[in-house]
Amino acid sequence: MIRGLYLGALVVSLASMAVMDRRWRLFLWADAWRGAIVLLAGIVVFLSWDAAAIRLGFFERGHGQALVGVELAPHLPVEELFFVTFLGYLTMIGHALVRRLLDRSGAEPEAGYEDEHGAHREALR
Amino acid sequence: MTYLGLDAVFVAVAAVVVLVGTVPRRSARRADRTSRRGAPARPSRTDGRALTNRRWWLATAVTAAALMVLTAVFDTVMIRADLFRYDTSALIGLRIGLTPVEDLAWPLVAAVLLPALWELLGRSLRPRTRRSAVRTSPRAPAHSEAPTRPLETP
Repeated sequence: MIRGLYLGALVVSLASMAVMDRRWRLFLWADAWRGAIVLLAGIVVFLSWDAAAIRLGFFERGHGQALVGVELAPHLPVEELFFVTFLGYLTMIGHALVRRLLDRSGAEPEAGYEDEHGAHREALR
Repeated sequence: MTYLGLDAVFVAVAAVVVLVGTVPRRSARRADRTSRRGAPARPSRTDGRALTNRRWWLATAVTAAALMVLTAVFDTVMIRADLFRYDTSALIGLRIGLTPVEDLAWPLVAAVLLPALWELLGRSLRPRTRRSAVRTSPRAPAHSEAPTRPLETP
C-alpha cells in the first residue's frame, strides 16, 4: 500500500466533486457563502464527533501504510479533516443532484417548495 | 457510554435542527403575504415550509440511503487497510462487512443536518433581497413565483 494513498484519494475525490459543483452549480457554486457555512458546520460537527469518540476511547488510529502518519491530535490523523470535509461536500452535492433530478421528473414543484436551481436546470439536460 | 449512545447525541442535534426548520417564521410569512401581488398563490421558499416538503424529504432519504451504502462499503475497505480501529467493547457488535452499524449514524446525520442547515440559511441570510437579485443577476437562483424567464424566451 502506497503511503499517502488515503489522503490522495480524498483530495482527488474532493477535486472531482468541485468540478461537478462548478459545472452544474450545485453547492458552493450555487451560493458560495451559504455553502461555506454549511461545509464548515459539517466539519465542526464531525470533528467534534471524532474528538468525543477518541476521548471516550471508541476510536484509535490505525497503522495502515496508506496513512501519511501525521496527527492533528492524538489518534486524529490529518486525513480525518479531509474526510469530514469530503463527507459534507459529498452529502450536499448528492442532495442537490437528487433534488434536481426529482424536479425534472416531477411536472410542477409542490406547494411550499421553491426550486432554488431553476435558473441553471438546463445545464443538466 | 457506548459508541451508539454517542451517536444518539448527534442524531438528536440533527433532529433539533430539522424541527427548527419546520417551524414557519412569522416574519417570513408576513413577507410572503405582501410579496404575492399578481403572483399565483404559490408560497415561496421563504415561507419556512421547505423542510416539511415531501420532495425535500425524498431527496434527503435517497441521499442518506446512498451515503449509508457507500459508508458500509468504504468503511470495510478502510478498516481492512487499518486506517482506524475501534474499541470493540464499546460496540454493540453488529457489523455490515467490517463496518460497525454505529458508523451508519454518520451518513444519516450528514444527510439530514447539512441540507437542513442549507435550507435554514437560505431563509435567514437573505429573506428579502432575493427577489431583486433575480432581476439584476442572471446567475442568481430564480424564484418559482417570479414570472421572469429571460433565458428560455429570448
